[in-house]
Amino acid sequence: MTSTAQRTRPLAWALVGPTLALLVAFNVFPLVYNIASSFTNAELIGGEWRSVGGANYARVFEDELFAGALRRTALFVLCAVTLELLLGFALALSLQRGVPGKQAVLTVLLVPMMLSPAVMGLYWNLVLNGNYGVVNQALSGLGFDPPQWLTDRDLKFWSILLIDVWMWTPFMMLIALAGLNAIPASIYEAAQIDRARPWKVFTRITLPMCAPVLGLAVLFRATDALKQFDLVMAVTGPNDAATQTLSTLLYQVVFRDGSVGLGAAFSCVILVLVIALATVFTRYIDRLQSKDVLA
Amino acid sequence: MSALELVGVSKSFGARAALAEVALSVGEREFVVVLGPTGAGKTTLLRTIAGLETPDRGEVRLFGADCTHSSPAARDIALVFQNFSLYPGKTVRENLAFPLLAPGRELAAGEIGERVQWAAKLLRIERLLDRPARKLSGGEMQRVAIGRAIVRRPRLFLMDEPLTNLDAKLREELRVELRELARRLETPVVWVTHDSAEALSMADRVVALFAGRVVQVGTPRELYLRPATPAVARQLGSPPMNLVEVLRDGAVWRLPNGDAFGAAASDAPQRALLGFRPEHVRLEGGASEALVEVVEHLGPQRVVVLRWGGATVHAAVASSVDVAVHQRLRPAVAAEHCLIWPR
Repeated sequence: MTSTAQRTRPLAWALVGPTLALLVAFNVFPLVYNIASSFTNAELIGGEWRSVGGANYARVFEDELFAGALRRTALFVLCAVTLELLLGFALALSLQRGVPGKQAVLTVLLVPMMLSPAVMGLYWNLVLNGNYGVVNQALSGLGFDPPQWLTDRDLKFWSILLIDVWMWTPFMMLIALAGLNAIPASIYEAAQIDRARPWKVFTRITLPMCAPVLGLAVLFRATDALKQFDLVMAVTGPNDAATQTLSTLLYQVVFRDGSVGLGAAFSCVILVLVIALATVFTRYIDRLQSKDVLA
Repeated sequence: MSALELVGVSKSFGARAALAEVALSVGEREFVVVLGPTGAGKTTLLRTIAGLETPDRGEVRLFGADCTHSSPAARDIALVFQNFSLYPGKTVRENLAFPLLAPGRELAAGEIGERVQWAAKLLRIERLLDRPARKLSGGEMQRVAIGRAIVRRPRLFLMDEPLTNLDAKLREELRVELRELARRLETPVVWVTHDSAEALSMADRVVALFAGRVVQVGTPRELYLRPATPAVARQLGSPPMNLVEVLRDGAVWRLPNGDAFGAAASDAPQRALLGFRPEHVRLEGGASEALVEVVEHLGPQRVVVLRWGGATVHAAVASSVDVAVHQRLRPAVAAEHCLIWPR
């Protein structure tokens, strides 16, 4: 007699098979292919592939461009996520406190998040344009000497950061608002009866009870900011030394310079960094969540 | 002087009146239970006393002082919530100490520790002090919530169905403990519930609240024996009071299908709702026949559900009484045990 497990095995394979095949085709194969090509001199067009050993990796670690993009991306993630978190949480707090026309305000605030980053890039290109942009027209109207937002070497990185903050602060706000609304009113009432100071209520109740959900939002935003690509592409293009991020550098190396082997090595290094970062972060969030679940 | 006095308190939420002209006074050591069904306005009443709601009309007086518009913090009273509402992610000790850290209470660290110990000992939660609040069982959480109320020695306790979320056994245990605790603390309590057992066993006085109105105030015994309305009669006691529609036919009450129920006074109304307690139903000597539909064994007594003259009647009899399903009986209720509400 066959056991149930044996009889249902074909069905199980039939159900899991397609997904497995897709995973192998689109995740496992590219990963393996990428790792393999990182040890070759592969080019985008033509040419015989030849093993070059660890030469590509040696180049990655010596490459000024890579170091610069890494530093820039780290700075971008740090600044963007911090600003978005602070602004979004502040907005959520004031919205929750009750603002006249709350629904309308919410809708308006959510618009930037729902538009495509490429469109946003083009839009801000118009707004911040050095000659005819709205911002500079207003500034010169007021008698200021308007800066070149998108072409000044020292400024364009921060302009892109500004656009990102403008786009994603509403996302943080939305999640923070959900977190705030999940705190039962009776806990605040208990604190009120216990004569707690507002600051104490904020630090002892609001903040710890919101922390897990805020942590999750930070994780989302950090992974997203880490692969910042579209805004940079739309505003300055992939080959601008002042704004190059890891993703645009990768694009430049593989699709403009055609160095597939080198690009593959780049992406392997980035992959390791991202995995390390994600592991640390999810551990942290796990801890937050086990600590501050509703009593 | 009374600890609490409500004078003509009314509160509406939109078109819905939650409280209508509520008057209530609570003595300085009194344990008052506000009894009413869900949606009667019990919680609104407590929240109004606590200062979490401001009444539309009327006055809230605490120890002689008008507090109608003062903040919850200024009233120095404690409220225990039905859902416990402990501070999350904090230990039991931190939860208990929290109210003592409030501004204007300036207690030395040693004194705070002593008070927390004292409350924990009183509620038998000493061994839980260093546990995080979220790791407690329901009963333990409720003890901590009560502990948080007693540490600061408030002038008045407000309890919003504090036992409702607990299981039956624990509920009975805590009922006795908390009644004793209130006596020892010599602090008045306003306890809100829909559970008739809590009202009967704990209260010095019961306030029956229906649809935002105080319908009756009295000792548990008074409300049990002489409920002012059929609604109060049904809310108190388990199984509740029997309520039967009857018509008077000369000197006899007749049940819905015409069977005789028992003797009626000559000045009684033509149509009435008769109320009588299950324990006052005898199973023999009556004027008409009834059919036993269900027999429920409840330990010391049995509840017999009768189909009698087109009405359903509960009788509570001693366990020793022999009675079986489908048996035909002639039940009777003495006239002095019948309450009559004219229809």
